[in-house]
Amino acid sequence: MSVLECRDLTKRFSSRTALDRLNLTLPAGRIVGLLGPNGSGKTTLIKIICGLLTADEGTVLVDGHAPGIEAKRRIAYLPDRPAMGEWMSPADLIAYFADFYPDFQAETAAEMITRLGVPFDGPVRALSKGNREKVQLSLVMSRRARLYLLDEPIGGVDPAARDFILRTIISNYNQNSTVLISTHLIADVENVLDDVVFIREGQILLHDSVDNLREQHGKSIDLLFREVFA
Amino acid sequence: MTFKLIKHEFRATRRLMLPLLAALLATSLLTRFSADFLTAVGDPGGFFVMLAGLLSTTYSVLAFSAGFITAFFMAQRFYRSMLGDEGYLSFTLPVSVHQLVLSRLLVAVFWFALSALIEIFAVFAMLYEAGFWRLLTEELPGLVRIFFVDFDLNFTLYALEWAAIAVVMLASGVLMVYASFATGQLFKRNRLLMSFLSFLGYVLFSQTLIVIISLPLTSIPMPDLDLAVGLHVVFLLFLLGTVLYAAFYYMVTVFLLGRKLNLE
Repeated sequence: MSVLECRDLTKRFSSRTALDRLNLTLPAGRIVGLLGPNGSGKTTLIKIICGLLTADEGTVLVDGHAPGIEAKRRIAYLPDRPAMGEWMSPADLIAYFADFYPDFQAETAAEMITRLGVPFDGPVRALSKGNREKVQLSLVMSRRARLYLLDEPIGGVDPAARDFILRTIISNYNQNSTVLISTHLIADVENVLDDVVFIREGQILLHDSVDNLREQHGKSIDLLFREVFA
Repeated sequence: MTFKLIKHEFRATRRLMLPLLAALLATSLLTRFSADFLTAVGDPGGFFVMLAGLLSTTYSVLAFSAGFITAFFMAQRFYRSMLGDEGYLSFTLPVSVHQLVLSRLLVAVFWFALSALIEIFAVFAMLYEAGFWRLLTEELPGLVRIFFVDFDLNFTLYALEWAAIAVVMLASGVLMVYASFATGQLFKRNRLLMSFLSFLGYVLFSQTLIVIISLPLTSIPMPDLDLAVGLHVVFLLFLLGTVLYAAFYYMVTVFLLGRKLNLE
C-alpha cells in the first residue's frame, strides 16, 4: 500500500487556484523532494495532507486513512514556521510530544537537541530562529512516523546545521516510512533525495527518481530545476 | 487524550492566571491590614500612608480589571493556540476538534469561576468589620434558611440549579467568542477584525432570537403551580435554554474548525 495517495486534489483561494486536480502517489521507503517556485502549491499540498487546510475537491489518503485522527497519528509534520508555544522549554516540548505521540522517542529528541548545542531548559522565545528550527526538527524526526512532511526544513539554519539536519533525516527514517521535503535549497538536499516531484501552478509537472533524471538529462537536479522553471 | 490536553492547557494558562489571582488576593488582604493599621495607629507618618494608598490603588485596579484580564487572556490563548502559529501544532495532534475545543473551554471556565470566587473573597476581605464573620456564618444562613423554610423551598436544589446556570452561562459566553474566532479565520485578511465583527453579529443574532422566543411566552397563561414547583420550572427552562444556546456556539466552532479550517 502506498504511504500517500492524492487524487484530483483541488484547492482554490478566492480567484487563485493553488492546487489543480493534483495526483500524487508515494510508496514507502523513499525520500522525496517536493520542488517548485514560490506560490507553486507546495505548502498548500502539505497543509491539506496534514489537515490544516481542507481541499475543495479530491481525496487524500495517508496509509489508507483520510485526514483525521488516524492519519495524524501517522504523520510527523514540520511546519515552515516555529509552531511551539514560546513559553515552553525544549524539555517541556519533549514531555508534550511524549504525551501525544506513542511513537515519539524522548531520549532521541533530548540527545539531538543536546548535540545541536541548544539550551535545554530556557523558554523557546529566548532561542534564535535557527535554534527554534533545530528543536522543532529534532522533535519531528524523533517520531517513528509513516509519513514525514518537512516544509522548508533547512531554510533558516546555517550550513553546518543543514548538514546535521540532513544527516538526521537520513538516519532517522526507516524503510517503512516516506519523507516528503519541500524546499528551495535544491543543491543542499539533492544528495539525500531518492525521488523528486516538480510542482508548478498546483499541478505535478514531473515525478521521477533522482537517478533516472540525472541519467536522462545528464545534469544535476538543481540545474534541471533551473532549466524547467526558468 | 482530552485529559492530556487539559493538563497542557492548565500549564499554558496558569503562568499568567496564578500570578494575577495571587496578586489580587495579596493586595486585598494587605489593603485591609494597612487600613486597620492606620486606624489603630492614628498618624504613622507619610511613608505608611503612601504605602497604604499605593496598595489600595493597586487592589482597586486589579479588582476592577481581573475579569477583563481573564477574558482577554482566555480569548488570546484560544486564538494563538488554535489559529496562530501554535495552531500548526494543535491541529496536527492526533485528537479531534471536539477534544481541542472542549479542553480549552473547560480550562477557561475554570479560570473564570476561580477569578469570580477570588473577587468575591477580596470584596469580603475589604468589607470585613468586627462581627462580620458572625453575621456571614451565623445570621445570614439563618435568614436564608427561614426564607426557604417559610416558602417550603429546597435550598440545596436551588443552589445546584443556580450554580449550573452560572457555569453554563459562562461557557456559552466563552463559546460565543470561540465561534467568532472560528468565523473570522474563514477570511483571508483582517481576521481579528472579522472575528470582532462576527462577535457583534452573534450578539445581535442571540438578542434577536431571545426576543423572538420570549415574546410568544408572555401571552401564554401561567399554569397554576405553587411557588416551589414554579421556581424549579422557570430555572430548569432557563437552564435548558442556556444549554441550547451554548450547544449552538459549540457546534458552530467545531464545524468551522473541523470542516473549514483555514490555517493559510
